[in-house]
Amino acid sequence: MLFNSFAFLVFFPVVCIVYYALPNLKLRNLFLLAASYYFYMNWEPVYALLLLASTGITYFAALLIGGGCMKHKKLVLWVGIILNLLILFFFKYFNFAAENVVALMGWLGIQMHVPEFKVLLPVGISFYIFQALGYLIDVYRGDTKAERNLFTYALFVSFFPQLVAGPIERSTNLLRQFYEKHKFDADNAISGITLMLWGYFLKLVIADRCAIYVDAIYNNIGHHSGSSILLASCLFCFQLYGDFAGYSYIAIGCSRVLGFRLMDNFRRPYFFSTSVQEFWKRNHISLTSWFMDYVYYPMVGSSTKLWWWCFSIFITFFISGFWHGAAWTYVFSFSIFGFYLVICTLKDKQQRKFEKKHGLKKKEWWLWLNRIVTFFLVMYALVYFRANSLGDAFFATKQMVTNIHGKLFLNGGTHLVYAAMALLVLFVVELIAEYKKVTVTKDNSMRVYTLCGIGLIAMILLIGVFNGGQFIYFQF
Amino acid sequence: MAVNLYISNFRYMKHRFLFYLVFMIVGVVFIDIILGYAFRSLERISFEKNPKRFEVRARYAIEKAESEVAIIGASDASHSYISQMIEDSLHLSTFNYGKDGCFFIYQNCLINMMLEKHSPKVILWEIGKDCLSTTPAKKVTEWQSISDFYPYYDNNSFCKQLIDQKETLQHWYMLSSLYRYNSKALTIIEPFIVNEIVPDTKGYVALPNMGYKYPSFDVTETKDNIDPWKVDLLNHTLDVCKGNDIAVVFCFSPSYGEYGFDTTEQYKKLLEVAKTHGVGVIDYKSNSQFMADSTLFKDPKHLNDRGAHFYMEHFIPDLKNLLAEQ
Repeated sequence: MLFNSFAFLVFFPVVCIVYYALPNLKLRNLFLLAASYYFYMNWEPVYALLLLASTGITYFAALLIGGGCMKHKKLVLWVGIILNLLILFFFKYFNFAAENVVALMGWLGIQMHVPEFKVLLPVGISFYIFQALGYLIDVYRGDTKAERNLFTYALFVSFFPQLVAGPIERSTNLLRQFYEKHKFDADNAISGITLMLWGYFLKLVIADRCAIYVDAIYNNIGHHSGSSILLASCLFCFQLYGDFAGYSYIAIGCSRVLGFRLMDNFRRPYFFSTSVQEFWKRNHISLTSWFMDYVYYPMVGSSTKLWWWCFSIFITFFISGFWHGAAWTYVFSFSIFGFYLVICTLKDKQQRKFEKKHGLKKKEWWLWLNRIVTFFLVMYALVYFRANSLGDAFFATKQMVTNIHGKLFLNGGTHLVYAAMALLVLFVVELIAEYKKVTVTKDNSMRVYTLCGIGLIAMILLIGVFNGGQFIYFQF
Repeated sequence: MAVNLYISNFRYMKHRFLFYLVFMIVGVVFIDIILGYAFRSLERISFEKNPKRFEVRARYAIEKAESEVAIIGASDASHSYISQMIEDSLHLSTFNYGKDGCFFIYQNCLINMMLEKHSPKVILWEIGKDCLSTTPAKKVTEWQSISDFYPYYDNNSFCKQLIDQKETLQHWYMLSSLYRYNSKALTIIEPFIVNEIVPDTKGYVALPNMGYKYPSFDVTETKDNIDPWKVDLLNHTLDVCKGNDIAVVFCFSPSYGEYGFDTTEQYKKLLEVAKTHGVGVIDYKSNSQFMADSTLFKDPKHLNDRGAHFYMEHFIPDLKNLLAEQ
């Protein structure tokens, strides 16, 4: 069931009404659990078994770790992690690994055949498995107690607003909320609906509008000049942001209507990041923090060696590339990000000295210069994310460097104008949020939310794209 | 007392939320009606300012069509058929109503709506050999252009029936005026900002002869399935044409490639329907003269201006002979 489908627009109000009508916390949680599984099974019912499997493995492993003998804690942890990663491997990476092994063997002169595992990628598998693993590791570390109630834990893993595309929640935030009886709060509901409308605007108006031009260029990249590819690459940044942040805002908004608070997943990354480091503190926050907490910091440990920090950050992003998909383009894209972060780490001290010496830190022009440079660095890394192959990505790079003066493909022009209008709205809203520190909370005026809501609906009806398809991150 | 407080708080929250919902709905409906009315008025004025613009081709065909020969189709029609050459040869006024990205469903709607006000003598229909098939991706692209007919939704039952087929909830979407003008705001406002002089090529849009790499030979696997709804739609349209005494000719302009249509069941069905309705067929799709020269093409599916002229030199004599027989 897609968020931008009529089925969801019927499903969600029904869930809210029934949820608040139920008198008992236990009944409410059971109902939400049933609704979450119903939501997930709308894609492919049999894949609910994978969700159950991941839930079951991490539930029992956590109970054993939480209450078991000190000697076997680490063993149980690793068994839990490996079993979950095996599920992920078979359904997401098996064919990719097989293709690469066969290619490598072929290069070494050994002919081999590995059968293809013909199966659809289960929606959201990377998200819920990582969420479950995060919980297991938290229990091992003692950051949280093992959840004894299987149904409550199952609800934590499968909670429908964030099940298929995040935010990847932490047990310390979400799990405890299932023990709070949420009263219906009109201000929460109103701010939640406003967030949902903002999410729909990002998806239907920005992401899907930019996608028309981006797809026209990237699906025929050999026919386009450097200027067209550059424009498409810039628009792809906003397509990706609109798609993913749109989903996150809808998820956060839905949860808020139900009285739950999910973590922020985006904080204006494309317009306001002054470095690649800051970009990853503002973009896909739940995934970045997951990798930092469960991969990077354990790798770094108590080491003070700079080269080890640099190596760890590169490896963390290299692995993050694999998380995004079974293709070398994703790995290459995130390796570039890893490389950027290594450079940031190495030059950090000198940059701070330079900024302090010239008093640049608070100068607006310096901030905007850094923001523009960061945007183009990020844009370049995302060329590999979007390209259909590494060959296409290298071609795009070559064209952007050697053929930037080539003819700009306009594809009719109107889509670009609508995209520009939508991006202007996005920029103004984010500028206000950044400088006035405005956030969407229950404390804002109902009048403001009503006017914003009407404006957003009008814009969606007038310049939204209604057949844009599903969210990009569903494929992860 | 705590229970009373809880109940009164819930009632307050409930009323507050209901007020918000009511204000939202009233606000959205109000804006929708006002802006819808504004766009309707602006659209009429904008159309009259410049009726031959490419973007308003459908409206021009429905409200201002006068030509004796109407060329209908998508981009392969608009870039392949030189109206002036046909007019000079047949001594019948000709207009090319072809529009890029406007496929079978759009074409049927256009013909049916055009015939309510004007009957040409001849319809040259660049119909597409795979027009009777459907795939999920094709379904999306075919229905995209149908929004050109949204302004006629309330006043034309055929149009309404067809648009409602787009998706299950289409009828509900059409209740919104703003939705009917989705992605049209710029098209409406453009004549007020830009004073575009449209050269009078009677609808023909020439593609440049050079400045790009000539295409490589394209070989595409053809999906073969027959959509019975499309067969019914085509039969209905051809019946209406017959009722208006219009000579219809299915035309297939040259492509630089092999698409394997001729052996498919869908193409056989198309020919069967053509035969039933006495529709002539002129097929240059896989013509060897064209397939031998890539410089006649802008890309595998579209002739450039030189290619279009070359095509007309062959097509027009065939058309004359066919019309003489019919």
